[in-house]
Amino acid sequence: MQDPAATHVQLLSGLIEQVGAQRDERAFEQLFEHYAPLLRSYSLAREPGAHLVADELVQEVLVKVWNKAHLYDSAKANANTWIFTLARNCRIDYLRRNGRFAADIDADDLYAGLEDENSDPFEITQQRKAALQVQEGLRQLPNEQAQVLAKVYLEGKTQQEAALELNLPLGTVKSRVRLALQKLEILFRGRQP
Amino acid sequence: MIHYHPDTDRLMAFAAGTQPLSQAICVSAHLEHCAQCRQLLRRLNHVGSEMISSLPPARVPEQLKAKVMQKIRSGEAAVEQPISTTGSAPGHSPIVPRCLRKLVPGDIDKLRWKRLSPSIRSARLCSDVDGTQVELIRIKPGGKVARHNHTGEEVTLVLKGAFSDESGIYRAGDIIFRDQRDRLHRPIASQDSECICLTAVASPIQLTGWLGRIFNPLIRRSHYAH
Repeated sequence: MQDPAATHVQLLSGLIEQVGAQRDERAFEQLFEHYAPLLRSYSLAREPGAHLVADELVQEVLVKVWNKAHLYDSAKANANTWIFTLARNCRIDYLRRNGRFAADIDADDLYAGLEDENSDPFEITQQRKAALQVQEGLRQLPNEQAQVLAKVYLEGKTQQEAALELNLPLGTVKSRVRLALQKLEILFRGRQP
Repeated sequence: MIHYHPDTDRLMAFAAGTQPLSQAICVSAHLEHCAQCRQLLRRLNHVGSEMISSLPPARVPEQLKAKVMQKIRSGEAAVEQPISTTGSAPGHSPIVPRCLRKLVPGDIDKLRWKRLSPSIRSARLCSDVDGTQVELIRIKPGGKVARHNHTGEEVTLVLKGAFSDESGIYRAGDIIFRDQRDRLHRPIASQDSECICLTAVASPIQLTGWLGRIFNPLIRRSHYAH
């Protein structure tokens, strides 16, 4: 029997492809219903109370979904991961517009071509397995490890900033990150930390 | 063969988008060269995507969906063309990383190169809000960079040729991070070809020795001078 979570992700991937192939507004609305509340949460995690910023991010990401759906390939990328990269890039560009970054380079320039799965069927299978391991593993992660991952990925903090906020030595934050990544089987055996 | 990679913490910061732009540029250029790190980046992206998926959904204001639907119908949203990710763009030197093509138009010889010593030239590309400078550095074959300490972090990515210092030999695609804990760093370009590097330097480095004591105040800008 297939994992219901995996089936749900496949459904979302199918919707993105429908938007890409047929400019299907109904499919797009379903994507909106699913992702808009999560994207809003993502933005509020970094700036609690900044509701206008959150609304802005939701709009930007979903418009990008519409504009880029035809470039999406469900054989190569998990729907959630694809949406995550769009959301992260919108966040980076928002910060850049607001003066945290200089230079005329936007997030799409930084990540272009680096995150697509290659077409090697073995790696595609590996990555699909890895995504499921992460999903399963996150549920079982000790709180203190999940907390540092949330600081980095959701709140957008550096490890130093996370250490300051949690009142922990930087070394402790680093070792929690390392333990978490080992549990999620992100780190290859033998890779130096 | 690439031997020097960003550590997992830095790749995770890149995946999460929390790195200063100047460092992210160097990491992006490394990833372009390194299939192994790209694979790890994709795994690190799964973590971000699952973290978002497990967030408690926030309430979405009612008019938001109507606004988005209006945007996509009005044609305000324009369907995007894929960014070319294979080979080099026409007119671009193949050593220029993709992420820098906007800042390095065409031939790198046309950049404004500043001579720092008989064997070293640099061209400034951009600076980050914290003052970190992103530059291209060209070192003639066998050229030596003055012995120096670091007062902040220095990231170097080799784009062409090779250089070595006390700790190793670095070739195209290798990325090296140095900070104040790394004492006495003295890079030398390999004898057989010019070495071109991308660097991000957080704060002025210090030359050591009696000459350094005299010149340090003068080298805040041209810190690679011989």
